[in-house]
Amino acid sequence: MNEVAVAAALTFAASAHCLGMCGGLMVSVAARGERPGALRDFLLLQLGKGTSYAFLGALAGVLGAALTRSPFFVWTTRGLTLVAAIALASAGFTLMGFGRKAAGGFTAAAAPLWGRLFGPLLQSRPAGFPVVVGLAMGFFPCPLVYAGVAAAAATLSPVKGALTLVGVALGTIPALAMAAGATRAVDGASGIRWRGAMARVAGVVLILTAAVTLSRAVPGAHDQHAGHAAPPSATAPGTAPAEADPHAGHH
Amino acid sequence: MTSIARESFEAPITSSSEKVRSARLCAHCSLPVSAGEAGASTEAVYCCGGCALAHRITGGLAGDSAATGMLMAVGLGAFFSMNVMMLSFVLYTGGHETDRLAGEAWVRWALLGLATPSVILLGAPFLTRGLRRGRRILLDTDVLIVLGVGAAYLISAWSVLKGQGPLYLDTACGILLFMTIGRYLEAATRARTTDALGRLARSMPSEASRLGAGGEERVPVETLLVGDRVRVRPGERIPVDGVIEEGEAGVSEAEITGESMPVHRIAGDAVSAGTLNLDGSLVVAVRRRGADTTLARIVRIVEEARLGRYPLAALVDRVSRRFVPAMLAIAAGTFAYWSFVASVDEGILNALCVLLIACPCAIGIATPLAAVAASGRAASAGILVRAGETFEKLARAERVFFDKTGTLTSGEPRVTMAVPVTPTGGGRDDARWLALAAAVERHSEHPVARAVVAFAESQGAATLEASGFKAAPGRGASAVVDGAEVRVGTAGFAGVAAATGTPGATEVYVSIDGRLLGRLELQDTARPSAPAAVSELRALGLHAEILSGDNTAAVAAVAAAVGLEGGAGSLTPEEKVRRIGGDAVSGVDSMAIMVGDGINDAPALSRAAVGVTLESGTDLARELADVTILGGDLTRLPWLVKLSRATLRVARWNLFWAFFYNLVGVALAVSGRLHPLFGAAAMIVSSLIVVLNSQRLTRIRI
Repeated sequence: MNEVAVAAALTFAASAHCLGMCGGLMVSVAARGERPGALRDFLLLQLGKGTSYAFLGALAGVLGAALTRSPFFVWTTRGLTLVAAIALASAGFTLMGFGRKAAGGFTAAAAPLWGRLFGPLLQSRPAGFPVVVGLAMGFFPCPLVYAGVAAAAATLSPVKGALTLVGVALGTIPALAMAAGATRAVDGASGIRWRGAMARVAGVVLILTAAVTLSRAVPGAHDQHAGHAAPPSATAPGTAPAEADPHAGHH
Repeated sequence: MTSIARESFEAPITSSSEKVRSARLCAHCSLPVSAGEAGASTEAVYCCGGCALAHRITGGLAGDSAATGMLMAVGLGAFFSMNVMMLSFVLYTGGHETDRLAGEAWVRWALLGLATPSVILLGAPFLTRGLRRGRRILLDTDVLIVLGVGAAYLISAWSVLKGQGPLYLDTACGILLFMTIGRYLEAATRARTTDALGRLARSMPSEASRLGAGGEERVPVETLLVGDRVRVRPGERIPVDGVIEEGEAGVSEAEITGESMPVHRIAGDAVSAGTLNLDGSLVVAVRRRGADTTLARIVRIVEEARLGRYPLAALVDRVSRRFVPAMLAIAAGTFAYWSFVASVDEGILNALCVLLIACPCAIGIATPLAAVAASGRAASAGILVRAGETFEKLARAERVFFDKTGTLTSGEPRVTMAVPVTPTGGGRDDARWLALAAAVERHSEHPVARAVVAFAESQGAATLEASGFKAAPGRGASAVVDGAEVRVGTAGFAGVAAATGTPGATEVYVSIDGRLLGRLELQDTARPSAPAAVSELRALGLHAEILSGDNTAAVAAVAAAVGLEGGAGSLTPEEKVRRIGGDAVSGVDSMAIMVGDGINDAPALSRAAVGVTLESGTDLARELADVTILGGDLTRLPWLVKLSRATLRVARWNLFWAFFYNLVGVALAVSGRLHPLFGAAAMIVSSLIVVLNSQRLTRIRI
């Protein structure tokens, strides 16, 4: 359960980011006071989004596990940890405003597609629709999710991978709940300034985490383990080295 | 997307031949839907589930309950599928924890509980589509998916009930989800590939500014009547086919002729709906509107072309007729073999895999998609191609024959030489005899007469009054000018002795009271685009030749002007047909392209593998040949040959990818080396490769 806690904490630290894209959708699905059942809709949406996240995490974990059965075993785990570090760092840099142009362009290009997908659902609001919206939302382009998926792959386990992404999903909930509940606080001029500051802080946190993760991927940092082919820790970033025997996959 | 734009057209177009069009083209991607499937229903039909889904999502009206229902079904199906797959991933990876988990009965029941709604929600569209085919169900490839997924689900359910046995629930759900998403992606991309027509249709304004007694008012185009006058401002598209009454403007006719250079149009000129008024204010009298306009006809013809035969159709037909039964047999064989050598579980899994990988979705769309993409590309370049298979014939043609008059030449003769009789009486000015000739010819509509008048005016001849005009068809015309009879025509008609003129030229003699005044030579001039077109066709390896009923000298003159070595003149229509070759009875293809003017050359055009006609672009009145080049630019022909060759190349590659995927996939599945989920993923990739490969045709430089 370590994975959930760490991923949730890191995502929470960075979740000011979520207010941009997901926050808006949250308002249209479950704005407080607009209609009865806002809480139910909010939770259904989180259920859908969490399912997509967990699915991605489990898939990444399966792929990671499959790779460990390859002959390049040691390099696989190191490589995955390296990818996780890079994903975390780029998420951090994105939050700090670097490369936002490219990311923004991508989001803008996808926006009409999402709009068309959700338009009919948001208008007629059939029972259970927030699950479907949340499910699709889980596949939005998002640096936090990418970092989480990379970390999930490095766990080499579908269970831990899924849990890592469940952590990411949980970490976003406070920010999204705020978006749904108090739109003014995040939309006003001061709200935007506040979001910017929070995003920069979160960026620094993610980059530092990336640095820690990276140190585990560098050969030599754990030379005493390399002798018996134990990979550097490849669980969720910042956690203690994995307790599971990596050879479990061979049985 | 396409659909929205087309709807504005739908009403007028469908009224003329409703059955053919509205009932048989997919409402989303505009590919043909086979007759059995479309039925007699007048509702929108879709060629596949992906198109139905994509259309409802992207083109569906807000609040459309069918659209939201479909979205919810797919969305919830995806939700359950993802949970099933996630749980199964955990079971697959093994290890102490998961082994213990897999042994728990509740895990199995949970999987079944999640999988059941998913299979129902996602599988229903495939099943209903298959059932709608009725007796033709064995021709439908969705039946393979339904059988495979159904078997996987039922076997797993039995295992859960018994408390032991194999589970394929993730496979069943995953395949349905992959197939649904894959079909959606494919349909969305396909609609973009076939959207050229939508672009044409969109260039048609829906409203016009009608000028009436009470001034100007905006009215829907459908309410205009022939003879109404509409105002078209700079930057507006002309809403109707009509004639300019007032004003002049540069008009971009790119939508009709593909010609990007604007054309200057003045009062009296015809203009087409959908063309763009660039810089002048025009008043246009309505001649045709809505479905009767040239643009609407173009859209209709290209749509009809999609219902025709496609390149390599014979090959595809042969294969697909036997495909499904053959695959069912192979799957049965696979099951028997693996059950015998390994276990029934293995047999089921491998047979399942054969069924799923065998679905030849890509084969079905491989060649139609290439042809549809090409016909859209051609239409936006001002070329109408009547059927998909025409591209194959154009690509394979070895020879090209041109009619002379009106094809290689402009069809408008010009005076190339004027020889006045040296005045003996003195005092008479040089232009006087031309003024006399023009006075007569001004009363005639004959092309020769128009050329004579134009020449006289260019020489500054005075305008004289003539009376008592008489035309002698094929010989000339006469009238009385200043009390004397002036005759213009052949030497015999003019009553003078013939002189020796330039070979190939048409001679016109002018006499007054039987006394020769002078002699004019007229020649038909080559189209400006002809020499370039001929040399490009040669460079493409085509043998080019003139076939003409005109005299041999005239043919030789034009041949020299456009860069052909020679050609055959004085040919009867039968001789033209003989030269084109081929045999209509035995079905031997002539491998020839005939370019002619539709009326005189009808037998030759129909004998040739491909008949090509040229049109002015403002009038599409006549029956069309296989190919109609609007705007009269002959260099479009070599361009079209290149496009056709590219189309055939793309179609062949598409077929290769489709077959290759199937052969390799089935071989792997039979040998037990392929997991069904990978089979489903590979199938999507194969379809997408075919779609993207075809999409190249809408962009490549030619």
